[in-house]
Amino acid sequence: MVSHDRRGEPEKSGVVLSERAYEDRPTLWKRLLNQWIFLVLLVFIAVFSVTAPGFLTVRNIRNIISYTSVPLLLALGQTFVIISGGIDLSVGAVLGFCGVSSALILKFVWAATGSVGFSIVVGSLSGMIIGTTLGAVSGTMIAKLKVPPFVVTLGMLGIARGCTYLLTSGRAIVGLPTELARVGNYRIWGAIPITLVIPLFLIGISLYLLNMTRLGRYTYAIGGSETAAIRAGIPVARYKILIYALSGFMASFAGLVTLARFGTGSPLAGLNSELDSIAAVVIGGASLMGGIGTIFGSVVGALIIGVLLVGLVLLNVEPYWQMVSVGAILIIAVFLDQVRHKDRVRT
Amino acid sequence: MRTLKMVFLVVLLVAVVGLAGFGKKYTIGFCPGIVTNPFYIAMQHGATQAANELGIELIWQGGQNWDFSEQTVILNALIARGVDALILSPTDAEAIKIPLQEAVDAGIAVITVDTDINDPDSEIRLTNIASDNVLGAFMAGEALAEAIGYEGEVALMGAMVGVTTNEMRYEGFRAAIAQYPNIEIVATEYSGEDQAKAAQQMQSVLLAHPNLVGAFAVDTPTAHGCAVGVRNEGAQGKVVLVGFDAQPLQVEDLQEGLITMLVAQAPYAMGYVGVQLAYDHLQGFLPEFPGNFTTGFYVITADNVNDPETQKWVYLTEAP
Repeated sequence: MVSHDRRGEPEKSGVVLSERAYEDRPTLWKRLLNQWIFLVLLVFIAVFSVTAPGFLTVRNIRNIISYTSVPLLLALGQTFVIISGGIDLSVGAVLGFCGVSSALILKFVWAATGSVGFSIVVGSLSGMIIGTTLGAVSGTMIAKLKVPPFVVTLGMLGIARGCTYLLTSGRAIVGLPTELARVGNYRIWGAIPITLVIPLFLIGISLYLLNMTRLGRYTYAIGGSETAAIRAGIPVARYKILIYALSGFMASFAGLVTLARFGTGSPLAGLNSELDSIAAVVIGGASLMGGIGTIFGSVVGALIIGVLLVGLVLLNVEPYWQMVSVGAILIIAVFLDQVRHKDRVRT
Repeated sequence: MRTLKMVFLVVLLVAVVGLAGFGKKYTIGFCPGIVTNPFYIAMQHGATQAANELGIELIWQGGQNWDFSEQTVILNALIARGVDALILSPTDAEAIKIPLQEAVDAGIAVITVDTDINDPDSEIRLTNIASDNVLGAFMAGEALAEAIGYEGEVALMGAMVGVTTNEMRYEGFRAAIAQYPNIEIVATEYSGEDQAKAAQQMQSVLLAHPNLVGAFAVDTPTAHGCAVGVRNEGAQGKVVLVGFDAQPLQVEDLQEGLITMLVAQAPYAMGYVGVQLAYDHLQGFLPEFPGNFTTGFYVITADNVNDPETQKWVYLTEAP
């Protein structure tokens, strides 16, 4: 069945490559399916607002946003990767590695120069560079050496997490300037948390990159059919490296947000969070076969996971049900993805 | 007659006030490190028992992973729900301080159990209720040293890197062994709380060090995995395996002779005492705490494993 779908694709990908078709007008049915997951989010919010004590409070909404920010940032990079037909299992480990290496650099620069502001800037920038580099390394191995993404990023997960433990001897990095936590927990005008502003900014960038640039077009094209993309003259290898570098960049940002929020570089940060990021993207309607997916969907997917977790805690439901419910939604979302997939081949 | 009436009225008044005070239903949020672990399930039994006795609403909510960002979101949700007190087993001694401070700022009484936060003088939490993990591992190291006649090669079979309670156990065990110049720690492994990995690591260590006479396994999955490794290598009786914690499967390993000794903690007591102390504090009986509470250990060996008293210390696998 899979091969049938695949065989059905090249002729379509020819269209995909013709500049505008990647945003071909969705049918009403497709559009409904796209909205379906958003409706689910709204229903959850409505139900919890009525039933869960404390759900509709400023504090709680802030809590959901702060928590969701990290899986959301990971999901943004993951969206590009999954649309391109790949997967990035290393995002959680890259998050952890960037967090502690930024913390170490920050601490070193602070001790050397005595300037808090300068050390925070240098620490953050180095974290971003490290994350992007790690992503680019994975991307290079995938694109040039043709090692499957699953294997490369699984390997990178081990390497990055192991190096994180080596760097820290397993202990959290403490003794960072208190201003760092003040930045991470800062609220603009006393109300809007920084953990909302940063994700919004990066959502904006991701929307722009995926929908208005060559990188976005090629991401869809590579995921639609790599062979066709190569035949069409797309420098597939270069763009794959870019895509994984972008995912590494987002992971480093997630690491910096975690570092700043908790004011400490924990080697355990981001443990298992790659699974949440993949779940968010898939719940958001992306296809693991590549070629399909939206930023909007991934954002909704990440929010659903956050809202469910918090809502069920407030209702004091046994914690296991949260796992069950996210799992169930994941499968239902993929089932609908299959329905859509058939629809795509038929048209 | 008038005095009798007065006395009656006073008694009634006291009773009403007392009942009103007594009948006030507190809500206590209890956030374990990870919900699936029998250690915390035993703690949940203790907490539930105390909550039922005191008429408290207990909200037991924790992460499915050992993850401080997941614990933070649960913690914040409990704050948003407006609990009166929070009892929490921190998944990260440092990272959890900022969200805990928010709870304090919201006027919530905070007590830590099992793991403590860094820099406990910061007045974030009122008290900590825990085992002395360094001492427990020191006891395990001493017992291991005695069992092997104070000489030979031993292995430290660790679980997680960076988890405070684990690190304390490594420290305690190393300190005990360091007293004896003829004992050498020839291998240190970390299972990542994965028993299959622990089994494989135990086998590798046994192969690499044929003269190994003892091993200390730092928690349940590691101890059980090591027991399996010992059996697979046929090293039963040749290697003294000392384990931390007392989940049912570890006790079975001990009954089979794969494990020589277990150092059991008292999670039930941690849960019970936590809720009791939080209640006392809310009632105003205990505005300040004199210090921390240590819940002690119970050492299980082949000699006492079948005693009914010992069975009370075995951790529980089913939630109340």
